[in-house]
Amino acid sequence: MVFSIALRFVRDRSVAEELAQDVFLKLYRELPRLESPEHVKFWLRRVTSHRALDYIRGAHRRAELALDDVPEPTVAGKHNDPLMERSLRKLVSSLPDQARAVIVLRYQEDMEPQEIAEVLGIPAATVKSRLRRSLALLRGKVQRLVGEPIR
Amino acid sequence: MKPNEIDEQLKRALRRCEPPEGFADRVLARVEREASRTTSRSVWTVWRWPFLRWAPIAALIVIAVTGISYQVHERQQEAEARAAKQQVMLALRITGSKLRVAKQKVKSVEAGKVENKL
Repeated sequence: MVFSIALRFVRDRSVAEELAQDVFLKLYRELPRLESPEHVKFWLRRVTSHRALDYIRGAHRRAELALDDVPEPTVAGKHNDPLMERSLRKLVSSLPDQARAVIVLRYQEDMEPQEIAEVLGIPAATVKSRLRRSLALLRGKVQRLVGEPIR
Repeated sequence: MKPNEIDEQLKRALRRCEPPEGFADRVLARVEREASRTTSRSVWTVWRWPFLRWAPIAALIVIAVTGISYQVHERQQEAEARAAKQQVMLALRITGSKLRVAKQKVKSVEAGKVENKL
């Protein structure tokens, strides 16, 4: 979870690993203050998201990504269309940082907008509007890609 | 395309990625390093506590004060013992001289009795 969130946010495996290690080291220090497994999960998602977004803000690099840079899942899904999935991952990677964060937490971590809002420390309305805008953007790009409308 | 198909496709496309091989070992190694550093640091942190920092000095002061008090007490006892000894000697001297006077008186009384008999 931690490595995967970091990787999709920063789009660099070595940086993602470094960030994930930092997060676990911080978890080790903070563990006595965390009250339950759910609290730990929430804490991990929040700290990873903030660390990754901080890194992105500091890095100031928005280079166009090669297809090979987009992280590939290690487990194949059912009924998958590898080309479509790859294209979608690339499209998600090209989203603005905050929008990408919301999409990753929504679809990778299967979190509700309210939970995403708590993790990122932004209003739920902002999360919902970013989700709507990002999905509209992705639909448009996918539509251009495959040549048919997508909902 | 069916409704919400993009949701399903995004979920499939954004499945979690596994961390690189050895990631857990590297994290544990960092945690162990952190733990050992924290332990050594905590010793110094404890040493920085005002109470513990001054404890050896306070102990030295207590030991010094106790030692000096003991020495003073010992000297006082020695002085008292010397004074008592001197008083005893004086008493003995006085007693000795009084005994001599009494002895002389007894002798003179006995000598007077003998002369009267004669």
